[in-house]
Amino acid sequence: MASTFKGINLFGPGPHRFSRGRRGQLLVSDFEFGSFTPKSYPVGLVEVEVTVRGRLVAASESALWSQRDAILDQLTDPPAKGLLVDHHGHQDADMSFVRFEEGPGTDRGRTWSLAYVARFRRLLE
Amino acid sequence: MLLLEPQSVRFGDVVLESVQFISLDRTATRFIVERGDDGGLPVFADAPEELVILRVVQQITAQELTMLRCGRLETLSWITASSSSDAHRARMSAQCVLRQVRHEFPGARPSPRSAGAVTRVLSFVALSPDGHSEPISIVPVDAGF
Repeated sequence: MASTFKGINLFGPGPHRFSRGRRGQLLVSDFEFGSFTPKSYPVGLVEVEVTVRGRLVAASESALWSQRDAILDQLTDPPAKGLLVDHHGHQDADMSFVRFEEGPGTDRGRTWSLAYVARFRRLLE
Repeated sequence: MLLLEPQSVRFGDVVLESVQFISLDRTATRFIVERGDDGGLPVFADAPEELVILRVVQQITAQELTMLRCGRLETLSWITASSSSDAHRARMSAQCVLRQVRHEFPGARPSPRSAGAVTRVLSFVALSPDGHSEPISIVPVDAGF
């Protein structure tokens, strides 16, 4: 099945993969407070982060720009939360699209394609 | 692509004599393979960067004093045919940069007696006029050209 963000097939039809960032407590060292101890303090669970790494694939330069623009339209300020669904139907609610990084450049071969990394985060309030 | 016994082989103003064949090799100097989340097999592959290498193989039958320097940019051209007749002849050409000049000797050491079996291999990189168009041009030649 196609992956979606806010119900939009944002990264298809090009290949892309989902991965998850670290989970667990954010630890702050006692040393940072000026004490010479190895103690650390748990501040709370870190925000959930989902990373999508993939490649936009298009039949022309302009079609590739259209795909890129459709993705960039979802980068809003402030971020608008949405449902992120991966290829296998796993859902992450209240995700914010926070970053889109392009690869070193457009690859022009049989197709026009562009590698990218997109990051989503469940921002704590 | 392999072209046997091409005729009128020229590199700029240099006439290349006794050419046995010209080979055209293509290599992807950058190759993309992508996989999805459904399995380990690639679902996308493309070659956005490619190198077209032409090799001209000459039989050397006499002392050869032509000075060809690597990096020289000229038009490499030749006439080829699908048979020994004049039918279906074509002039092929490409803007090429000389990459290597190499002599191959049949024995362990070159000697005057083995001169007839020596081959010289000229290796060229073909250039595209705009980075996207095919570097090799093929124009049919009328019979009797």
